[in-house]
Amino acid sequence: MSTVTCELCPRGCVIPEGAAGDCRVRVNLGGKLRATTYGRPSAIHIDPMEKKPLYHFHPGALIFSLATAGCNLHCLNCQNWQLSQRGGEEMEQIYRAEPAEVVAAAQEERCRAIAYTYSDPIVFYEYVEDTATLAKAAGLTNVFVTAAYINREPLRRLCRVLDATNADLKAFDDGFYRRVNGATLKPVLDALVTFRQEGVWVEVTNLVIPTLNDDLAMIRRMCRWIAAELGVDTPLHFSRFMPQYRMRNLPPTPTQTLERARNEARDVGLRYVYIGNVLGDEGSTTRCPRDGTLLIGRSGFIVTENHLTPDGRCPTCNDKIPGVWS
Amino acid sequence: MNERRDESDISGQHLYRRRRFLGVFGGLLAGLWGLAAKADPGAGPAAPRELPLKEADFYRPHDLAG
Repeated sequence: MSTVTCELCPRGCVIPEGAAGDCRVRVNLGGKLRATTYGRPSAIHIDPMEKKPLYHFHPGALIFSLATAGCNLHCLNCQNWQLSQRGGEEMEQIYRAEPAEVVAAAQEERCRAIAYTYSDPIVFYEYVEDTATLAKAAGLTNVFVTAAYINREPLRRLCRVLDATNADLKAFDDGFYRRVNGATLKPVLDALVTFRQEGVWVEVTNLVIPTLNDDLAMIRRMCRWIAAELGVDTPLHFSRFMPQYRMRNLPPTPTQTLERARNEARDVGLRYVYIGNVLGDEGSTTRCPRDGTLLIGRSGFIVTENHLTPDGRCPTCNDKIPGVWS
Repeated sequence: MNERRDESDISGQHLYRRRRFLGVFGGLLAGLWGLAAKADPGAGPAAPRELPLKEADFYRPHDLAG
């Protein structure tokens, strides 16, 4: 009986014949590694770009978003656990959607981008790669929403067809990753740097969980790392935790905690820091760092006003605002 | 006219009713089990329902993060 080793993510699962890796969907079939969910998404929706969240990438555009079952992380607070913590055969419903069909549907619905999201798209890597290649050829852009727990070589290869990512940085603490996510920190940091080096537009999300990763000194260290390794123009989204799945014993994140985190981030020099999962908050507005001009106003996931010049500049001081605007 | 009955008569009727109840109930359970086995001989987890992409409602509200 031959085993196969999956080299996609740092887990490096050694999979016996007929069995699946830790993600539940990458299996050894006759000595070959196969993703059972290829062409079989379980969630397909059209969302606003702001929901990913991406605030500096085609604001207000619609994005065709899909996911298959499975995930290579096991976060105790996963909001999408009914999708991510199951194998494909455990889903109630799946769609037959080959890459060309996905691209055609996205075009038909006038979406300008496709998002690989909801669960971690790392586990349906081949499906992402094939779909994104066709999408790119058809003039669409590709967005990868991920926890970034992936090895360097497969990520570099995938970056050739990716345009943007929103990547989670769940905490700046390896112990947190091990306890809460079943993963480790360093590969995530390496992946974020790889995205940046490969020219993919990067926005980072940090879900702030009361008592677990809301220590301001740690948040400060994380922001310093982002400033040094990804650049001060990298948008950072502090997101509000809501109790769910296996973490119902903690309260939602107080708004004041998110505001303190944002102050820390600005204090170390990050120029675009947002607060998410809090309706109507000023924290979702993009302002010019130089003169405070309101550039993009948002309410929830909706862009309510956009004052950027067509080439992405502040209308007051003419400074170039980093992002992908056209 | 009243018939004379002692304790053993009362106890015997009680046991008879209990045996009869258990017999009928047991038979019923066995019948239901048989029907279930016949209806789904390889009973295991249900397979997912597969739909073509054109049947997806892309705009259906959802609460998935990301």
